[in-house]
Amino acid sequence: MLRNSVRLVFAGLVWTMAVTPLIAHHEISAKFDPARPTTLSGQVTKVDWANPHVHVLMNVRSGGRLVNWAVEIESPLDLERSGWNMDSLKPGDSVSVQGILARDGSPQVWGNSIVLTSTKKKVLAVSPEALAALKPVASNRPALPVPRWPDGKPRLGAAPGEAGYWARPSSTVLMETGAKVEMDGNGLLKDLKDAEKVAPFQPWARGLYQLRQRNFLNGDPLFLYCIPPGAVRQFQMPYGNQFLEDKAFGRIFVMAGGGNHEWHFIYTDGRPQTGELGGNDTNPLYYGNARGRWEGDTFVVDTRGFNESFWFSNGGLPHTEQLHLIERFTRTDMNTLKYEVTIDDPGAYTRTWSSGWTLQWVAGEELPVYYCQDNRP
Amino acid sequence: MRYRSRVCAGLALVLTVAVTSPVLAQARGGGQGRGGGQGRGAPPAPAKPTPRWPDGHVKIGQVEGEPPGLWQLGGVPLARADKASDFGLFAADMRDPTDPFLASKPKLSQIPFQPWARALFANRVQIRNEPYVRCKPSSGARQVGTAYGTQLLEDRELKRFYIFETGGAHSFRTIFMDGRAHPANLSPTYRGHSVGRWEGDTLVVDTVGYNEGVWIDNLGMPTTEQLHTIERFTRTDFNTIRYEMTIDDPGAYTAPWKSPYLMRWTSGDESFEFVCQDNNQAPGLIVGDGTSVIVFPLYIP
Repeated sequence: MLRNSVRLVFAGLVWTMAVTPLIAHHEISAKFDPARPTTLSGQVTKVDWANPHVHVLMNVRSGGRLVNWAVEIESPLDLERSGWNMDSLKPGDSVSVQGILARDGSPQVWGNSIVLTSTKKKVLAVSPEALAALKPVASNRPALPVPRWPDGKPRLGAAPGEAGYWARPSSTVLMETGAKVEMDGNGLLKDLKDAEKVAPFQPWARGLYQLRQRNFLNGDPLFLYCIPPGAVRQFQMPYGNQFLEDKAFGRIFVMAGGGNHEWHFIYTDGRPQTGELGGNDTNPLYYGNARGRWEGDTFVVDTRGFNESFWFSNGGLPHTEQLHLIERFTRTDMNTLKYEVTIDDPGAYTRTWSSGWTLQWVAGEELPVYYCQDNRP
Repeated sequence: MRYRSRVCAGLALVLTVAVTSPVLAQARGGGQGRGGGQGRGAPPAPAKPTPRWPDGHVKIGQVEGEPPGLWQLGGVPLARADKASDFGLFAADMRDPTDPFLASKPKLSQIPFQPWARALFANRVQIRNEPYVRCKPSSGARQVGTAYGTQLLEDRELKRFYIFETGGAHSFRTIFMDGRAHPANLSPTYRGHSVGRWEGDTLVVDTVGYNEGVWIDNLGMPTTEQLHTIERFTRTDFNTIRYEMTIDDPGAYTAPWKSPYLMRWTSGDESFEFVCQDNNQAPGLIVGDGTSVIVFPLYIP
């Protein structure tokens, strides 16, 4: 059916043939099949410069008729960090695209490369610098000490006159401390048989986890409906978080760069979440009922009252409304925030278990402004 | 109970688009909040004076020693209707404002529309498809007038001013108060790029870099990427901010124009978690499942 300029190359299910997506805020293989690479040639009809991912629409001649294909590439933020903008490619431009086909047979590809026919040059490719901006950065200079408030407590946010936010997690996946399991950055297992090593699942939870994994995480509500990355997932996100300590009023604003650029409170004076949506057992929340306190230099956040409408981590680990988190945030130097989490959910796990990673301070930069909802109608 | 509450929240979200008065939003926002009902139904106490920092600058947000509170914007439309049918299916508040500040709000016939913008506005008030109800971020008066109230917070140490909204997209806007200029070559976004400064007792917020998808009111006053807004916040007493937005958009209007609002402090309320996507009444519009009125076939996740 698809001939001429649409060449489908079934390359023997070799992963290396299909360049693995570089950044991608959700599992690309949920929608696209890395084992089905293809090449498209045609004319650009539209560039939709919108979150979560930019789409290039192009007309491709196939068997005497034109088919409009959608080529999905990385997000505007990552492309802009790579020096591109919404005018880098224009309607009417002729391009050749290498990508992988959508699993559902619709005319969509994930674009691994776009080459402008007139110049033979790649366009809208993510630069190594943009890629590095999302990963932990090694530094051989000694880090500055922890900035502190006049009362001696560490500052969770920026010091006066400075800018920055927390991002670049050292791990974007969740597994029990000590587990040795290979996954990609979105928590997709390399070998499904490793599922039981990830966490002490109850049988039903392990089954659901395996089902989500077998479906390449394609039921992820964050991806499908822009549902917030509640619980530990907010600290696995590429565009980071900012803490605004409103000390006089016993609360911390936790502000997300990505997701829907939303925010929530951690109360520091023991009071519950107020307002209409109470965060109690009749109306559980996405970010839960979070209460924090200082233990020495560690900020300990105790959260209950989560709903079950979201995935609480990358990788699709199940949870129930019984989920109870104890998160410990320790700023060990200017640039490092140690994140340790204890997961207590007798509804989904056989015992309490722990995990953790570190976040890096992105100094001198403003929190990104990213709305998942952007390209939805 | 749980689902009813969510449905109510979602319904209120949709309804607040249709009402020009914030009464409903106030009622919902204060629902079960601790102390949320304080003062309602009782005669209003005389307003305390404008709170100030020790250096004399106006304090625009919470005040230490006082209960938490939220700001509510009185009515979201940028214009007054000349006749009740002007706003199509929306209820237009036809009463003349008694406050002289509010009386300067332009009538629809006074808006210096370009012809295409007038036609688009007429179409939008009939179609009623505000991006807000599909969980998109709004800006200008529409953000300041988000249902369930907004929190204004000036971080004087870090030289930033924040507007946190409770309902709608439950997002926030960062306004840089450190004297920086707008960057060149801004990519258009919903919130644009905001810088602010104090002019005496008035906080002045200057914003450029808007995309054309954003709405700055609930009726759909058209805007282009040339939109430049100036918002002025003047806290005239403890309970009141005079808010005025200037719309300067040569792409849609033949001259700059402005619209005034009164913002009211509702004491005892505090923001709560609100996830528009949780119970949106138009999920087909969000994911584009191909069966809704807006068909968006290509990007189905």
